[in-house]
Amino acid sequence: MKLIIREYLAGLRERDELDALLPDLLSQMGLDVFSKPGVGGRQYGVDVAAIGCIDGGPETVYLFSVKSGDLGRTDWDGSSPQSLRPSLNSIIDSYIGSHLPAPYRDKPIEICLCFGGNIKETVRLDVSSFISKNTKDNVSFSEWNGERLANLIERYFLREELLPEHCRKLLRKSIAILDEPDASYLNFKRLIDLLLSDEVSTPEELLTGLRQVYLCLWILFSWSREQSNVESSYLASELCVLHSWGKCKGFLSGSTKMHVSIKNTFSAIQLLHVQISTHFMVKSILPHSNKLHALSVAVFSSCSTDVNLKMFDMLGRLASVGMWNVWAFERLSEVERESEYGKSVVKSIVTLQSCMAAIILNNPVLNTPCKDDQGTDIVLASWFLSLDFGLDIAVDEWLSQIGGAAQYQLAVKNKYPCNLREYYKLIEHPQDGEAYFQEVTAGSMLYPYLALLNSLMGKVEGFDKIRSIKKEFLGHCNFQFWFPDANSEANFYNNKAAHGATLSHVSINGDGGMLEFLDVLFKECEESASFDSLSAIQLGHWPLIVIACRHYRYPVPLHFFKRRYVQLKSAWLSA
Amino acid sequence: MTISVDQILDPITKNLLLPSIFELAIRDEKKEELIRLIAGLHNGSLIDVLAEYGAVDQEKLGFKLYTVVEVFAGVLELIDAPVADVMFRVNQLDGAGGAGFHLLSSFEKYCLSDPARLEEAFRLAKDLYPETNLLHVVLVAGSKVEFDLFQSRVIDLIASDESRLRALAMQALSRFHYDGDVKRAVATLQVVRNGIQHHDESFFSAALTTVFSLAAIDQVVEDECRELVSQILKAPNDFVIRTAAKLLMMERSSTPESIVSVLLIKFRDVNPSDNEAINFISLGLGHLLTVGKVEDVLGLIEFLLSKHSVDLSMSNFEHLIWVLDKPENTILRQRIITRWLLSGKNKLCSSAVQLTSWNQGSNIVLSADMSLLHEIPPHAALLLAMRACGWMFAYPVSAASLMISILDLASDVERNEVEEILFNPLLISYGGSVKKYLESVRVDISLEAKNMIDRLLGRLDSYHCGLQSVSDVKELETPLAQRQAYQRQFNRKMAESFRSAEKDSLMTALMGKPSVILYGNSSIHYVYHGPNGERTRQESPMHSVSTSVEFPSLDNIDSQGLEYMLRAFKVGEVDL
Repeated sequence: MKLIIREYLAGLRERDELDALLPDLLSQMGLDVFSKPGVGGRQYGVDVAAIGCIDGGPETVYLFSVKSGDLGRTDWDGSSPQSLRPSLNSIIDSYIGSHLPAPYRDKPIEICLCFGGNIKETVRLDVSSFISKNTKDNVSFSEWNGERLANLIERYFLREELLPEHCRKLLRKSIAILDEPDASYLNFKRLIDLLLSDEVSTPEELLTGLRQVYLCLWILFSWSREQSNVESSYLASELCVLHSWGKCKGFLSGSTKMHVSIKNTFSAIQLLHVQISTHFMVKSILPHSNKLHALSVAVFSSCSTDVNLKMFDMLGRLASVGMWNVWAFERLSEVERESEYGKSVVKSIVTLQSCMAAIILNNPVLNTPCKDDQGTDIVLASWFLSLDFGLDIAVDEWLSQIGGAAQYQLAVKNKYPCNLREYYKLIEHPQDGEAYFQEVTAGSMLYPYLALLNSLMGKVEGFDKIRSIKKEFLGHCNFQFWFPDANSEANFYNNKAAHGATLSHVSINGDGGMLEFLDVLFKECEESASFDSLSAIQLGHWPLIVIACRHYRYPVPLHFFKRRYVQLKSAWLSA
Repeated sequence: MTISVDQILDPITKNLLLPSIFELAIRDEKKEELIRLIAGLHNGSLIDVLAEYGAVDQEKLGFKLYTVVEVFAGVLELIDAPVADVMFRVNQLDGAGGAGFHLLSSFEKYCLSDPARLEEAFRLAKDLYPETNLLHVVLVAGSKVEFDLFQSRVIDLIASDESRLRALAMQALSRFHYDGDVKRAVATLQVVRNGIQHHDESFFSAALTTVFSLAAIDQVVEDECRELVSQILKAPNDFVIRTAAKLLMMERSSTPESIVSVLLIKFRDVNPSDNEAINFISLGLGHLLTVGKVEDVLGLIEFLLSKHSVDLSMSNFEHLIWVLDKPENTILRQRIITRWLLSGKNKLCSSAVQLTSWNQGSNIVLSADMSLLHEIPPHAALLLAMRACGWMFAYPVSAASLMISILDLASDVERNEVEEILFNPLLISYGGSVKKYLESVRVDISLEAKNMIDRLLGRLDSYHCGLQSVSDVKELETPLAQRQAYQRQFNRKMAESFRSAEKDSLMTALMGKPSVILYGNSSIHYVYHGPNGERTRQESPMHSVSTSVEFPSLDNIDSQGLEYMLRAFKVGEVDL
């Protein structure tokens, strides 16, 4: 956090940015600011003046002379009138003697050399000599560099004032309605769109934008955390990661300073997302995983559809948090995996897996998806639970429950999974009539994915149940799988437009059973090579695809399961 | 105060006799005096009561007509008038104002008061009123004077070509006074036997009535009657079955068992949409249940419910349910509920629920019939618990009490399963009523059952603690937009439901369109007493009426899972 703030400060201009931020920071620290930057130049070297106590010290007059970025030789004592040394001289010679308000004249005075970056070593000696020479009984000097400012900002001032004026309103709105996370998220989304808009064209602008995104997310998170409701910041963090990746993916492999800065800033955003999602899980979800119905009750709704939607959504999130951990583990070397850190990552994964299994057990609503795109959450959860980290979890039993429940719901035509998406339609579902039934079950990715998961686990019974559902009730339904295409790279991370291609009318009733079914699907995977071209895959950030699928409600690409298919097929062939 | 002659004569001059009769009859209960006075005036030729009653204007008299005709019936018994005139007027007034019974009864007395009248009346009835009740009355009256003569006359009439005349004559035979005379009864039964060859439903119906009236006379007669009942009901006919059901209901205590047995078999052919017949059967069966014919009654009910599973439900047998709801029949009802739940037949199980839920008794405490559990092969106790939970979930205390009642009979494994079912879904869904019930019974049961209840209550506390602990998890709360959308949908459905209920409401039918009071909590209105504008001010305070229903919490948390679970309990088998 501090690193990003420091770098952000270092990038601020002197006029209207850093000197605009400083008075608010001082006020927030409890000081009385009696002079702010005015139009038409400095007041004898002083950009900002304030009086008060810092950290319990004596009441002191603080006189700031502000510079942007690092302090180099030309900034210290160049020909420019904006150089720092002449400004300091003006303060000593003129301001203190004649312009300091009378009531403050008997107070100790501290002249503050304020700049967003650091003092370059080339002028360090000159600055020190100047300070030694001019320090008197009642006049002292202090250095307010980027590090100190970042510390103070983090401590006192994680607020919207850090942002450009035009963004503040949206951030303010997002924070003001944190208890209505959906609305808060929508405002934050507009903010992200603004900060990372198409008008951001230069690397410098991008870097600034990324840093602002990071700061905004931090601010949102800190407020959310304070209000004990990180829902909005969780959703926002997914969006930040995805949008940031969409913008900065081209800079991640370069080695210039700008490339490294952009990469680091993205990493910070990604880390913050993981931090927020982990906080959400650790504080709100995992402690209640072993309590029967507790999480379902936490939805606090008298509408069972609300409970259903929330629980599957939460399951998908839990899976994506788990996937980040898996990703982190995969990136470790063999030696690192054996280290304390490696073991702690494994422990986190196992904890998440066991909690997820307990949540499924204790919240039986997770056996009855009500809409088709919850298939994405089921796939992610099944995938995560199936990963072997030493825990034996009967995922197939859960899938069997889902299949059985769907079969029953279709048989009695009650609350069967449908492809409706709008909430107001979902709460009216189901309605009478065969025409309605055919319409809301015209297409499905849920059932094909259930067949796929059962097949990948070698569960013939589960696979046959889906075949039976198709045969008995859903003959009209278009069973389909989605594959990324050439447009996916441009749209996957920002969801600007629909993308990908769908393999329609996938047959699960072939004589060849599961193997034939899998062969057809993974043959299509080979045909759809766009998945491998996705930047997140190429650059080894595959959890971004998981988040994108979850956040934008896309099916999980089959390519993730290709390795399992190959293993399974070779086992079958050898058997 | 007595009625004066003038009070009769004056209105006659003004053509207001009949309204005056009403006023005089209802005043100070002077009806008998009035009847005697009118009869005296008629017999003294001061008035012609038959002529005066010829001017009856039914529309004008309205509700007064009943009393007016009732007075005429009384007068009829006392006057001396030509038979033809009397029969003409009686036929004219028969059915008027709903006082037909009084009229015909008085006409019978009029005939019996002079045997010569009987002969003339029979001739006139046969010739002029062959298809009216007059003939029936004359035949019955005649049988009281000359049984054999009138029996033979009836037999002659039954040979007629007119079906209505035949049926009427046969009907009359049922009201003849046989006084235990087997010979006469057998003669009548022979008439019945001959008559039923015609396959006429009106005649069958009348024949059944006659057969029922004779059955109790003697064993030989009873055997003959049973045989005839079988023959009459051989070909199912709604009208005849309805008559049989009605006879069973009316003659329930005098109908011999052998005939009841025949009826219970024949009632299997009842038309499920014939509500009247079903209602008669229900009334008849209610009595049979209480006199120990449980198996026969249940056999019929179970057959009918299974055969007409769509058209017929236990609620059609409302009287039967009412009988079973009586405290003295508690054990019988429990036996039936146990039997039906264990039957595995959906229709019977749902009927068991109706027995539980009738008469607002949504939470009555039940106990299983242990003898039935012994009869059924393994795990009957657990099976009953599953069925009770599945079918009676909406009546949680009934379901829970049924489960508690079988604990002592259940094996350890079964008991563990029952405990699980009691906890989830029953106890956690109905944390109010079921908990209260369990707390109330824990002192009166076996130690093992008591321990189980203690464990259950402990688990419920832990469960609730778990639910309480998520009160600070705000992230999972439903978004405002969804809450509002659901609220709109809920309000719309409630309004539709309210309108629908209001349409068929008894209150709406009684009170008409409601007045809407916008402010205050009492309503002021005036009652006007007459044309002078006298009025009384009345202030009616308004009262709030409320009721509470405990909704199962699982219906919100996991409605589909709950439905699936209950379905499994309803139709699933024990798998231990």
